[in-house]
Parts: sequence; C-alpha cells; structure tokens
Amino acid sequence: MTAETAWPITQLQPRLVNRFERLISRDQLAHAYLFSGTQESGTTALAQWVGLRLFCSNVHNGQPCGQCAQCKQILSGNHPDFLKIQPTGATIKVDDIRDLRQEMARTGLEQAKRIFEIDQADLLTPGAANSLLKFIEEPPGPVLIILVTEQKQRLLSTILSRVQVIDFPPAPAANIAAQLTDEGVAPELAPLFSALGASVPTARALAEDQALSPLLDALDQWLAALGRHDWQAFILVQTQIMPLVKERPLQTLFFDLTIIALQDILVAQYTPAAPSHFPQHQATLTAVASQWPPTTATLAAAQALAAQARLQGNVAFQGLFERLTAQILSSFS
Amino acid sequence: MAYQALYRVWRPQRFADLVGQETITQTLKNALITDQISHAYLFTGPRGTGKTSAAKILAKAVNCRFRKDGEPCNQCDTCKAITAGSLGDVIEIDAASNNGVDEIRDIRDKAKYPPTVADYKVYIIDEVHMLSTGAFNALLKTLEEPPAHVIFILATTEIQKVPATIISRTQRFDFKRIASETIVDRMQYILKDMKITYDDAALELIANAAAGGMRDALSILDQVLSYGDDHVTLANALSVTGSLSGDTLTKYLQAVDQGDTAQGLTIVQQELAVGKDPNQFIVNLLVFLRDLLLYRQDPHLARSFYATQDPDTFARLVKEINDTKIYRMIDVLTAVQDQLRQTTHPDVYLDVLTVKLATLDTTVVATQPANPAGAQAAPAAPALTHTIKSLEQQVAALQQQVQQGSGAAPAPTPAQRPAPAAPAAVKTKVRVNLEEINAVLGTATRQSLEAIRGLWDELLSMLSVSQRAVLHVGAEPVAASPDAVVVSFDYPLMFERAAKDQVMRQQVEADLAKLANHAIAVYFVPKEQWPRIRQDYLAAHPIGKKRRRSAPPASAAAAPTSADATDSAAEETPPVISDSDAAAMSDAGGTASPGKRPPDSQSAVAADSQTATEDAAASPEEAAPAPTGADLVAKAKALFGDFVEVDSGQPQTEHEHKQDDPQNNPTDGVNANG
Repeated sequence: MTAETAWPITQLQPRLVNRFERLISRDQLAHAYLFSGTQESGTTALAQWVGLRLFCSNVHNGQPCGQCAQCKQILSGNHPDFLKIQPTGATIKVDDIRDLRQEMARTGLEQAKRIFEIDQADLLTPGAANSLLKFIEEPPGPVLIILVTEQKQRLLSTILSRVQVIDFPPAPAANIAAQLTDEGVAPELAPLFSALGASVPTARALAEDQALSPLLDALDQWLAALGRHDWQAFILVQTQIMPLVKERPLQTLFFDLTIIALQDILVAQYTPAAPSHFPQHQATLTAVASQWPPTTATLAAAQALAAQARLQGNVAFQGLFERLTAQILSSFS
Repeated sequence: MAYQALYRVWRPQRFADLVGQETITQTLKNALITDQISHAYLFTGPRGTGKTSAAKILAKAVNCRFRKDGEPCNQCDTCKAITAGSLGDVIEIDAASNNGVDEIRDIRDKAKYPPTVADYKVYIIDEVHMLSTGAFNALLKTLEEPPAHVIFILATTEIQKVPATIISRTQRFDFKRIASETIVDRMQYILKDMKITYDDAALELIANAAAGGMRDALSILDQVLSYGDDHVTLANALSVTGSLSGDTLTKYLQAVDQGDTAQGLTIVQQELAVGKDPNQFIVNLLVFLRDLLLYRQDPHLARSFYATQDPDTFARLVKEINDTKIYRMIDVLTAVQDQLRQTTHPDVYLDVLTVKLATLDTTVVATQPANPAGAQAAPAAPALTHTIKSLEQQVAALQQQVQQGSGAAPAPTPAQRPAPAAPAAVKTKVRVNLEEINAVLGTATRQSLEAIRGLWDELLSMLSVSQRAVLHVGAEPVAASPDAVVVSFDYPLMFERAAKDQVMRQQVEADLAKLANHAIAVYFVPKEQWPRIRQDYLAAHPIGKKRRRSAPPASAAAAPTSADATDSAAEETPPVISDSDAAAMSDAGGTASPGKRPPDSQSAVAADSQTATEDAAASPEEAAPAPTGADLVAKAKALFGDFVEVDSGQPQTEHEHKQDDPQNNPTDGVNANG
C-alpha cells in the first residue's frame, strides 16, 4: 500500500491533514491544540496521525510509514512519549492531571518531544481543568498537548484561550456508511449516525446487537400517534417507550433520536427534498410533517431541546417525555 | 523549542506593552516611582487581559536596580533571570495544583527568610480562586502582615471565589476586557515586526472573535498564520474563527426577512456542513444586525467589515429590514445564545432559530404596515375586556357569598337574626358549634387564657407529629374559661382537618388535662370567623349590664374573655374588628392613648378626679361626660399596654374603668382625639 492512501484520516479530513503536515514540516507546531468535533469526524485519528508524523523515522511524502518501530508503538498505543489520558469513570480527575504534570516534567525517552492527548476534555473536573491551566500555557519542556472534545462549549474559557482550537467539519454520511458496513451494521443508519454526536457509541453498540430498531419503531409509533393528534401518544410513553429505555445512556440516546426526528419534521415542512436522517421511517416523518401546523413543529423541536437540557440536569426521563407529549398535543387546540 | 506560540513570544515585558489596561499600569508605575509599593496585590479580570503579565512585570520592576519611570530595564541580570523564570526570589505558584493548606504553610514558613539575590521576595499566586478554604485562611495572617521583604501578587479570573477577608487585605486591580481596536493595534504592531502583511478586515474579525482577550486574539492569529503564505487573509481568518462571510449573512438575513424558511435552513445546513461554529454563527449575526442599526443612524458608526466590505449591498439591506424586526431578531438570538452553551444539538437550535426568525417576519409584517399602532392593540382589546368582565362577575359572586357567609355564622346565636340562608352556607363546611363557644365565652377569663397559652408549647410537644403539624401552623388559643378553651386556625383547611379529627381533639384534651391537672374542653374556630363570633357574642350579651347585675367576682370573670375581645367591645365600631390579632388591637388602643396621655401625668389624673369641673374648659376630654373614666382608661393603657386587664386582683383604678360601660369608652376616645 502506498503511504498516501494508508491513513483513512487523509481522506476524511484532507485539509486538516495538509495543514498539520505543513505545520510540522515548517516546524511551526504550537504547543497546545484543541480538536473539537465528533469522534466520527476524525479527532482522535488526527491526533494519532500527528503523533505518527512527528515520531516516524521513515516519513515519505509527508506521510508516516506505519511500518517502523516508532509507528508500530504508537499504533499499538505503547509509545512511551505519546501518552493518552482518558476519563476514569465519569470524569477526568485532579489526580490524573497531577500524574500528567509529573510526566510532562520529564524529557522524552525516545524522542525530543512528548505528546499528551487528553480525550473527552469536557469531562475534566473544574479542579483538574484549572490545574491544567498553567501547564498548557507554558509547558516546562518541549511538549505537544492535544485536547480532544465533542463539546467545546463545556470547556473553561481560560482553557480555550490558551489552545489553538481546530473545529472539525462533520464527517460526510458516505464515509460513515462505509465504516458501518465494515462493522456489519446496516448502512441505512449512516445518516442517523452522522447526526447523533455523543450518543454514537451507545447507538453503535445497540445496532450491533440489532437492538436499535425497537427504539426506532417505538419512536415511529409515538410520532405517528402525535401526527394523528391522538392522545394515545401519551400512553405510548408508558407502554412502549419506557420499557426500552431503562438505563441512562439509552434515555439520552432516545432523546437524541427524538430531537433529530423532530428536526427532520421541521425541516421537511419547509424543504421537503431535504435528506432525512431516518430513511427507514421516512413515510411516518413525511406524514407527520404534513399533519402538523408549522407552529407545532417549531414548538416541538424547541421543547424537546429544553427537555433534553433538563434531562442532563437529572430530571426523570418519563416525566420529561410525557410533558413533551402533552405540550405537543395541546398545541393543536 | 523551535516554535513558540505568539502569545508567549509577545508576552509584555514592560508596563508600556501591557495594552488596554492603562489605568492599572499607570497606578502601578506611580506606586513604584514614589516607592509606595503595597505588600499584597490582587489582579482579577477575564482571561487574556494581562493579569499574569502584569504580575511578572511588577516582580521585575520592584527588583530592578535600573528602574526608569517605574519600568523595569529588562537588561540587567535580575530582569533577565525573572523573565526566564530562573530567579529563586520570584516564586510563581500555580494555586490550582498547589491548593492545599500544606503548600500555603510552606509559603508561610519560607517567606520569613530574606531574599537571596533580589531586594524583594515576590510570590505570584496564579489561579488563586482554586485554593481550598483552609488554604485561604492559612494565608490570611501572612497576607496581612508579611515580612518587609515580601510581596504577594494574587491573580485570578474568578474573583467571586476569593473570600472577602483575602480581598480586604490586598490592593485589588480589576483588569478590563480589551477593546477590539486595541487588539487590532497590537496585532498590527506584531505583524509589522514580523514583516507579515494583512487584510484589515481579517484583523478586525479576529479581534471580534477574541471577545476582549489578547491571548485569544494571538492564538487565533497564530492559527491564521499557520495557514501560511505570509499574509493574513480574511478567508483564512473566517475559516479559523468559524465565522460566516458577510455575503452568507446577507443572503441568510434576506431569506429570513422575506420568510423564505427553506432558503434559510439550506444556508444553515451548508455552513454547518463545512464546519462553521454554531456559536460564532449567532455572534456574527448579532454583530451584523447591530451594524444594520448603527448604519441607519450614521453610516460611519457601522465599523465592522460586514458594513465596509460591500457597502452597496449592506446599504440595500439596511433599507429592506425594518428596525422593529431587527430588535426582535436580536431578542431571539440572545435567547438562543444562552441555550446553545448547554446543548449537544446546536444544529437543531439553529434550525429552530431560523424558522422562528422567518415566521417572526409574517407576524410583524402582517400587522405592522397596515395599522402600526392600532393593529396590535385591537386584537388585544376584546380579549382584555372579556377577561375583565369575567373577573367582575367572579368578584360579584364572591361578594355575594361573603355576605351570605357573614349572615350564616352568627345565625344560631341568641341574637334574633333571620337566618334562612345559614344552614345551607354552613353545611358545606365543618360546623362551628356556636353554643358551646358562647358558653366558653360566658365564663372566659384572661387568666385562664394566659394559663393555656403558657401550656401551649408544651402541649404541642406532647402530640404526635401529624397532630402537631395541624396545630403548629397558625393555630392559637384565643379564649379560655377555667374548663374550656377556644382555638382559632389561620387556615380554613387546617380548621376543617382539626374539627373532623375527633381522635386528635380527645388527645389534645387528654394532654391538656394532664398539664393543667383538670379537664379542659377544646373547641375549634376558623380565624376568619372568630372576630364575628366574638362581636356577635358581645352584641348579644352587653357586658356592662351583665356585669352590673352580677356579683363583682363574676363580673370580673365575665369580662369578655381575652384582652382583644374586650378591646373590640370597647372600640365597638365594626369595621375596625377585622380578623387582625390582639396585637393590632392593642396598637389601635395605643394610638388612641398618646393623644390623651400628655395631660395625664399622675398629678393631672388626681386633679381630674378631684376637680373635674374646674378644668372642664381646659381640654376636650375633660369636658366629656365621663372624664375620670376616660382618663383612667388612658392610665391603664399607659401602665399595662393592653386595654383591659380584667381581674379581681387588679388595683382599684382598673375596677373603676372596668365598671365603666364599655360602650361609652369609644365615645370618650373619639372625643378625646377629636
């Protein structure tokens, strides 16, 4: 295989790869970056590519070889100078950062520079984030710090001002479809996955177990009832939806699905030709879009967003969903 | 390290370089020139405004021997060592990672040793808001009176987390956000020094996106430069900041303005697909709209590149969209801006926003041009009048109910009131047994009431939690005879619950019996009915006559129950007797008394009682039919605060007053005051 085609990231984010290639070859790399974008858009992949590119002993045409000892170490996640910090549990704690700082004070084992990648940086606790400040402003040695996040807006403004923020364009659905097919998931789900954002891992795990379609069916039923202005929809929350979403990640996922569906309905009312995120349930969505007055569609989407914000604030799922249902239904009168 | 971020390379090394904070730098320089350096400073302000830089410059300036006009020389060994961070006497502490008491103790211990090289030991404690409470407190004493050779400089972005005791021990400097123009100037200076050309609009865009933080601006500039080409282009700046071009914004606003939702949604989706930042989308729109407004006032006011880049299109847009709509758009945008911070679905927010903005159009345009003033008022008016009408009807109905209710309550009393409506009205609620209560009132004494009140708290503590809950809120004994007590309830609901709960009543009676050593019956009344019950009772049983007929001790007991009851009887005028409590009543009495009090010093009273007629013309109250009585009442008030203390043990004056017909007192009072 030739070097240019070897790395999927060069196809996914060609412009960003070019940019970093130029930075590295000109030796203009800053010391701290924030990669902001979904996992699917290649944030961690680019971080890995940067590591490979910096450490590879056999760079060819600006691309790392993937064969040398350095590359192999990075690819297997064992390079002593390329450290990844990942959340332990729900957050990244001060202790993790303390360890990181001690590591930073040391010089590289095999390389002059050391790379630290902090995944899901939005999960840094306030204490951890603050203790990172001084180090990402003026790190003690030659280091490259890459923060990776899907929710940039949750980071401290003091962190954002110290790093160079790289916004990743979302991955095209076609790329995701190909990826899904590789993993044995129905490619029809690709458009949905491209919009799901942070819930993708949950959805993917479900899809692999063929457990995603019951969720989608329940959503379909619920929307269809709402489309008929049928108060049965309220009952469906208890009878159809609740048994499926017993755990927290599932509830978040279901809300994400609902919001995307409502967005589709809203968009379909104005641009009927717009591609839907639910190819398999297109008929229902189109029907609902025609049955609802435009005000309802706007209200439904806005209220669903507000409800999701409350879900993050630990309000019970069922209450929120029933409230949403009631709000939508009473908007018809 | 081969490459350093711009904000590190260009970190200010002199006060003069610290742009945008001229007040602060001048103050610090003056302090240095006049040798009036404080021992503790607190620098606060948003990110990237120069707090840490100012702290480092100050550390250099105090230690530099070749200081000129308050600026460090940056040439001597001390300055260079401090810049490099290698001088042992300038200690920069990251409070976020050294936030414990132990670290602060360490500072405290070491602070007492004199500096080794420099004149002053300077502790720069950055991110000081992260110190733990214990650490802050451990710092207090040292911060207040450090050794002469020590200077503390605290820096933080979050002043609200710093205790007031720390703030009060320091000289506090608030760093302001840096104005866009100042940021642009600074970037121009840097770029000129680096010999890099630039588009003016690009710098302005960067300065806007930086939102007052110089470090943010230089970070962005760094990225734009990394796109290469030794020229800062607008296109690169747009791409790095995730901003929208003026062209796109114009198209979007036109689409939304004309209600073309489909077009608006398409633009949003296109822009998001190429990785534009939803937050920036809103910020750009806001700036754009602001410029539209400013342009209308004076084309020169709109300075952003949106206005200057393509002035013709901009001018056309200014004419197309009306002010009212711009204001409403700004409202909608700011609301969404807040929500956007929390969500994982910014794209949906933007879609909803687009639809809202586009439909905003139809509502405003439909009503406005046709009839700007009347259109909005007209549809509102019928609805309003309707509401008012229905409210009026409700009020009328309620008044009627109240009247019926007032007729109902006293109906069973001996007072011969016609009470046909009474049973119906009372049936709905729990019935108040007026006969029993009147019986209690007949034998009520102040003493008994005080006794019961004294036992009340103890009684409550004996009850079970749920019973106590009923009696705890707004329930109090209002009248008591030696073997019975009347308890009033502030809330009708509580009254109903208590009245229905026979078990509780028995429990209360049993407990009371234990406490008082004899059986006491308990009756409940709702507070709203209580004044009326009392009043009706008094009307039906004229106290004065009754008392005159009865034997003296009995008459003492018969005096209407509690102080407030007598009080109300005395000041008979019905409207005064609302359901206000005894305190209010005695207040009312109190206000009456001062009018009479001045002449009523001890000797005056004596004189009055002896030679009333002599002084008849002197003051109106003495001219009144019962001068002595009125004065004695006033005296009693002055002595006891309360209107009547009805008790056999009272001094003679009290008896006199008591035997005075209460009905006459008010007339006296009125005369006295009038």
